[in-house]
Amino acid sequence: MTESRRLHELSVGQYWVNDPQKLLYCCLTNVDPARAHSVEFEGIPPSYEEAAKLLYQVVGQSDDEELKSAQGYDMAQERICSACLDYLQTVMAPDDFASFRASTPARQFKSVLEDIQLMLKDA
Amino acid sequence: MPRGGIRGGGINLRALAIRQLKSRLQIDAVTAHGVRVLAPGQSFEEISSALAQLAAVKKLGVPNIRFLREKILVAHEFFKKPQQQLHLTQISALVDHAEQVCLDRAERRKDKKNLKQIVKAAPAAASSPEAPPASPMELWKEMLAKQQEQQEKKS
Repeated sequence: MTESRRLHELSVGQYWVNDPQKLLYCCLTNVDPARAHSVEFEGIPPSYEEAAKLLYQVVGQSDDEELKSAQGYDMAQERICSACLDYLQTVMAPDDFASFRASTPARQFKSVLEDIQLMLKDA
Repeated sequence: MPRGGIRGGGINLRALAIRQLKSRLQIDAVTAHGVRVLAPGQSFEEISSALAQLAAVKKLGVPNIRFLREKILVAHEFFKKPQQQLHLTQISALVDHAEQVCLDRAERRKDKKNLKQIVKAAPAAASSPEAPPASPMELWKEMLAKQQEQQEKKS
Protein backbone atom coordinates (compact mmCIF):
# COMPACT_ATOMS: atom_id res chain seq x y z
CA MET A 1 0.00 0.00 0.00
CA THR A 2 1.39 3.38 -0.98
CA GLU A 3 1.50 6.26 1.49
CA SER A 4 -1.17 8.17 -0.44
CA ARG A 5 -3.44 5.13 -0.40
CA ARG A 6 -2.90 4.76 3.37
CA LEU A 7 -3.85 8.39 3.98
CA HIS A 8 -6.87 8.04 1.69
CA GLU A 9 -8.05 4.86 3.46
CA LEU A 10 -7.72 6.50 6.87
CA SER A 11 -9.56 9.67 5.93
CA VAL A 12 -12.32 8.62 3.54
CA GLY A 13 -11.72 4.95 2.68
CA GLN A 14 -12.98 1.67 4.00
CA TYR A 15 -11.25 2.13 7.39
CA TRP A 16 -11.97 5.84 7.78
CA VAL A 17 -11.46 7.40 11.20
CA ASN A 18 -14.32 9.60 12.30
CA ASP A 19 -12.62 11.84 14.88
CA PRO A 20 -10.40 14.36 12.99
CA GLN A 21 -7.71 14.43 15.69
CA LYS A 22 -7.58 10.65 15.91
CA LEU A 23 -7.38 10.59 12.13
CA LEU A 24 -4.39 12.92 12.28
CA TYR A 25 -2.80 10.80 15.01
CA CYS A 26 -3.19 7.67 12.85
CA CYS A 27 -1.69 9.51 9.86
CA LEU A 28 1.23 10.81 11.92
CA THR A 29 2.01 7.51 13.62
CA ASN A 30 2.03 5.45 10.44
CA VAL A 31 -0.94 3.32 11.53
CA ASP A 32 -2.11 0.59 9.18
CA PRO A 33 -5.71 1.56 8.22
CA ALA A 34 -7.00 -1.94 9.02
CA ARG A 35 -5.69 -1.53 12.59
CA ALA A 36 -6.97 2.00 13.11
CA HIS A 37 -9.97 0.79 15.14
CA SER A 38 -7.68 -0.68 17.83
CA VAL A 39 -5.63 2.50 18.35
CA GLU A 40 -6.15 4.00 21.79
CA PHE A 41 -6.16 7.74 21.26
CA GLU A 42 -5.52 10.15 24.14
CA GLY A 43 -4.55 13.29 22.28
CA ILE A 44 -1.61 14.14 20.04
CA PRO A 45 1.63 15.03 21.88
CA PRO A 46 3.27 18.37 20.96
CA SER A 47 6.29 16.45 19.69
CA TYR A 48 4.42 15.80 16.44
CA GLU A 49 4.46 19.47 15.46
CA GLU A 50 7.14 19.12 12.78
CA ALA A 51 5.55 15.96 11.40
CA ALA A 52 2.15 17.66 11.22
CA LYS A 53 3.66 20.65 9.37
CA LEU A 54 5.28 18.33 6.84
CA LEU A 55 2.10 16.31 6.42
CA TYR A 56 0.14 19.51 5.79
CA GLN A 57 2.64 20.54 3.13
CA VAL A 58 2.66 17.15 1.42
CA VAL A 59 -1.09 16.64 1.41
CA GLY A 60 -2.01 20.28 0.83
CA GLN A 61 0.01 20.54 -2.36
CA SER A 62 -0.43 17.01 -3.64
CA ASP A 63 -2.16 16.28 -6.91
CA ASP A 64 -1.91 12.52 -6.43
CA GLU A 65 -4.79 10.57 -7.98
CA GLU A 66 -4.66 8.06 -5.13
CA LEU A 67 -5.69 10.76 -2.67
CA LYS A 68 -8.72 11.75 -4.71
CA SER A 69 -12.24 10.44 -4.19
CA ALA A 70 -14.68 9.51 -6.93
CA GLN A 71 -15.28 12.27 -9.51
CA GLY A 72 -12.02 13.95 -8.49
CA TYR A 73 -13.11 15.35 -5.12
CA ASP A 74 -10.34 16.14 -2.61
CA MET A 75 -12.23 15.01 0.48
CA ALA A 76 -9.25 13.18 1.98
CA GLN A 77 -6.99 16.21 1.58
CA GLU A 78 -9.65 18.50 3.05
CA ARG A 79 -10.02 16.32 6.15
CA ILE A 80 -6.30 15.82 6.74
CA CYS A 81 -5.34 19.46 6.18
CA SER A 82 -8.15 20.70 8.39
CA ALA A 83 -7.07 18.31 11.18
CA CYS A 84 -3.44 19.45 10.77
CA LEU A 85 -4.40 23.10 11.10
CA ASP A 86 -6.57 22.42 14.15
CA TYR A 87 -3.70 20.59 15.82
CA LEU A 88 -1.01 23.12 14.85
CA GLN A 89 -3.15 25.95 16.16
CA THR A 90 -3.09 24.35 19.60
CA VAL A 91 0.65 23.65 19.74
CA MET A 92 2.09 26.71 17.98
CA ALA A 93 2.25 30.31 19.07
CA PRO A 94 -0.34 32.44 17.21
CA ASP A 95 2.33 34.41 15.29
CA ASP A 96 4.19 31.28 14.30
CA PHE A 97 0.96 29.66 13.19
CA ALA A 98 0.00 32.68 11.09
CA SER A 99 3.42 32.79 9.43
CA PHE A 100 3.29 29.04 8.80
CA ARG A 101 -0.07 29.40 7.08
CA ALA A 102 1.14 32.32 5.03
CA SER A 103 4.30 30.50 3.93
CA THR A 104 2.58 27.20 3.19
CA PRO A 105 -0.24 27.69 0.74
CA ALA A 106 -2.48 24.70 0.08
CA ARG A 107 -3.95 23.87 -3.29
CA GLN A 108 -7.58 24.84 -3.97
CA PHE A 109 -9.49 21.64 -3.13
CA LYS A 110 -12.44 20.36 -5.10
CA SER A 111 -15.02 20.21 -2.34
CA VAL A 112 -18.17 18.12 -2.56
CA LEU A 113 -19.91 20.40 -0.04
CA GLU A 114 -19.20 23.51 -2.10
CA ASP A 115 -20.59 21.78 -5.18
CA ILE A 116 -23.75 20.82 -3.28
CA GLN A 117 -24.17 24.40 -2.08
CA LEU A 118 -23.79 25.66 -5.66
CA MET A 119 -26.35 23.13 -6.86
CA LEU A 120 -28.76 24.25 -4.15
CA LYS A 121 -28.26 27.90 -5.09
CA ASP A 122 -28.90 27.09 -8.76
CA ALA A 123 -32.02 25.16 -7.83
CA MET B 1 -5.89 -40.09 39.23
CA PRO B 2 -8.09 -37.72 37.19
CA ARG B 3 -11.83 -37.71 37.79
CA GLY B 4 -13.62 -40.34 35.76
CA GLY B 5 -10.73 -42.79 35.67
CA ILE B 6 -7.55 -43.10 33.67
CA ARG B 7 -7.56 -40.92 30.56
CA GLY B 8 -6.42 -41.86 27.08
CA GLY B 9 -6.50 -45.02 25.06
CA GLY B 10 -10.28 -45.32 25.21
CA ILE B 11 -12.57 -46.14 22.32
CA ASN B 12 -14.26 -43.23 20.61
CA LEU B 13 -17.76 -44.64 20.69
CA ARG B 14 -19.22 -41.96 18.48
CA ALA B 15 -16.70 -42.58 15.70
CA LEU B 16 -17.15 -46.34 16.08
CA ALA B 17 -20.94 -46.03 15.84
CA ILE B 18 -20.66 -43.84 12.70
CA ARG B 19 -18.29 -46.38 11.16
CA GLN B 20 -20.67 -49.26 11.86
CA LEU B 21 -23.67 -47.35 10.52
CA LYS B 22 -21.73 -46.54 7.36
CA SER B 23 -20.81 -50.19 6.90
CA ARG B 24 -24.53 -51.01 6.98
CA LEU B 25 -25.08 -48.56 4.15
CA GLN B 26 -23.21 -50.43 1.40
CA ILE B 27 -25.97 -50.48 -1.19
CA ASP B 28 -24.93 -53.08 -3.77
CA ALA B 29 -26.52 -53.00 -7.20
CA VAL B 30 -26.36 -55.75 -9.83
CA THR B 31 -27.41 -55.69 -13.48
CA ALA B 32 -29.98 -58.33 -14.35
CA HIS B 33 -31.38 -58.48 -17.91
CA GLY B 34 -29.96 -55.02 -18.58
CA VAL B 35 -31.69 -53.46 -15.56
CA ARG B 36 -29.89 -52.27 -12.43
CA VAL B 37 -31.46 -53.86 -9.38
CA LEU B 38 -30.58 -54.16 -5.74
CA ALA B 39 -28.42 -57.15 -4.79
CA PRO B 40 -30.30 -59.83 -2.85
CA GLY B 41 -30.25 -59.66 0.93
CA GLN B 42 -30.61 -55.86 1.16
CA SER B 43 -33.79 -54.69 2.72
CA PHE B 44 -35.27 -51.20 2.74
CA GLU B 45 -35.84 -51.39 6.50
CA GLU B 46 -32.18 -52.13 7.18
CA ILE B 47 -30.91 -49.34 4.93
CA SER B 48 -33.46 -46.72 5.95
CA SER B 49 -32.92 -47.42 9.63
CA ALA B 50 -29.14 -47.01 9.23
CA LEU B 51 -29.70 -43.78 7.25
CA ALA B 52 -32.02 -42.36 9.89
CA GLN B 53 -29.70 -43.34 12.75
CA LEU B 54 -26.70 -41.77 11.04
CA ALA B 55 -28.65 -38.60 10.23
CA ALA B 56 -29.66 -38.32 13.89
CA VAL B 57 -26.08 -38.47 15.20
CA LYS B 58 -25.16 -35.16 16.81
CA LYS B 59 -22.43 -32.90 15.40
CA LEU B 60 -22.18 -34.57 12.00
CA GLY B 61 -19.41 -33.20 9.79
CA VAL B 62 -19.58 -32.20 6.14
CA PRO B 63 -18.12 -35.51 4.78
CA ASN B 64 -20.71 -37.57 6.65
CA ILE B 65 -23.52 -35.31 5.46
CA ARG B 66 -22.29 -35.67 1.87
CA PHE B 67 -22.12 -39.45 2.32
CA LEU B 68 -25.72 -39.49 3.57
CA ARG B 69 -26.93 -37.40 0.65
CA GLU B 70 -25.28 -39.76 -1.85
CA LYS B 71 -26.83 -42.79 -0.18
CA ILE B 72 -30.28 -41.20 -0.08
CA LEU B 73 -29.99 -40.48 -3.82
CA VAL B 74 -29.09 -44.12 -4.52
CA ALA B 75 -31.90 -45.33 -2.25
CA HIS B 76 -34.40 -43.09 -4.09
CA GLU B 77 -33.34 -44.84 -7.29
CA PHE B 78 -34.01 -48.36 -5.99
CA PHE B 79 -36.90 -47.97 -3.56
CA LYS B 80 -39.77 -46.60 -5.62
CA LYS B 81 -42.81 -47.47 -3.50
CA PRO B 82 -44.64 -44.34 -2.28
CA GLN B 83 -44.21 -45.31 1.37
CA GLN B 84 -40.50 -45.87 0.86
CA GLN B 85 -40.10 -42.59 -1.03
CA LEU B 86 -41.91 -40.77 1.78
CA HIS B 87 -39.64 -42.35 4.35
CA LEU B 88 -36.56 -41.33 2.38
CA THR B 89 -37.86 -37.77 2.08
CA GLN B 90 -38.26 -37.65 5.85
CA ILE B 91 -34.67 -38.83 6.29
CA SER B 92 -33.60 -36.20 3.77
CA ALA B 93 -35.24 -33.54 5.95
CA LEU B 94 -33.23 -34.88 8.91
CA VAL B 95 -30.04 -34.52 6.85
CA ASP B 96 -31.03 -30.95 5.91
CA HIS B 97 -31.37 -30.16 9.60
CA ALA B 98 -27.99 -31.78 10.38
CA GLU B 99 -26.42 -29.69 7.62
CA GLN B 100 -27.93 -26.48 8.99
CA VAL B 101 -26.64 -27.30 12.48
CA CYS B 102 -23.20 -27.99 10.97
CA LEU B 103 -23.19 -24.63 9.14
CA ASP B 104 -24.28 -22.80 12.29
CA ARG B 105 -21.45 -24.46 14.19
CA ALA B 106 -18.96 -23.39 11.53
CA GLU B 107 -20.31 -19.84 11.70
CA ARG B 108 -19.96 -19.77 15.49
CA ARG B 109 -16.38 -21.07 15.21
CA LYS B 110 -15.60 -18.30 12.74
CA ASP B 111 -17.09 -15.64 15.05
CA LYS B 112 -15.14 -17.01 17.98
CA LYS B 113 -11.91 -16.88 15.96
CA ASN B 114 -12.59 -13.27 14.92
CA LEU B 115 -13.34 -12.26 18.51
CA LYS B 116 -10.13 -13.94 19.69
CA GLN B 117 -8.15 -12.00 17.10
CA ILE B 118 -9.73 -8.72 18.25
CA VAL B 119 -9.02 -9.51 21.91
CA LYS B 120 -5.42 -10.43 21.04
CA ALA B 121 -4.91 -7.26 18.99
CA ALA B 122 -6.28 -4.95 21.72
CA PRO B 123 -3.62 -5.66 24.40
CA ALA B 124 -0.92 -5.47 21.74
CA ALA B 125 -2.05 -1.95 20.90
CA ALA B 126 -2.36 -1.05 24.59
CA SER B 127 1.11 -2.29 25.43
CA SER B 128 2.81 -0.08 22.84
CA PRO B 129 6.12 1.45 23.95
CA GLU B 130 5.99 4.72 25.89
CA ALA B 131 7.91 6.66 23.25
CA PRO B 132 5.44 7.95 20.64
CA PRO B 133 5.58 6.04 17.35
CA ALA B 134 7.64 7.65 14.63
CA SER B 135 6.08 9.40 11.66
CA PRO B 136 7.04 8.38 8.12
CA MET B 137 8.70 11.78 7.66
CA GLU B 138 11.41 10.58 5.28
CA LEU B 139 8.73 9.25 2.96
CA TRP B 140 6.80 12.52 3.13
CA LYS B 141 9.97 14.51 2.39
CA GLU B 142 10.51 12.36 -0.71
CA MET B 143 6.88 12.91 -1.77
CA LEU B 144 7.24 16.67 -1.26
CA ALA B 145 10.45 16.75 -3.29
CA LYS B 146 8.73 14.89 -6.15
CA GLN B 147 5.78 17.29 -6.05
CA GLN B 148 8.09 20.28 -6.22
CA GLU B 149 9.95 18.71 -9.16
CA GLN B 150 6.68 18.19 -11.02
CA GLN B 151 5.59 21.76 -10.32
CA GLU B 152 8.88 23.10 -11.60
CA LYS B 153 8.52 21.04 -14.78
CA LYS B 154 5.00 22.36 -15.30
CA SER B 155 6.06 25.94 -14.81
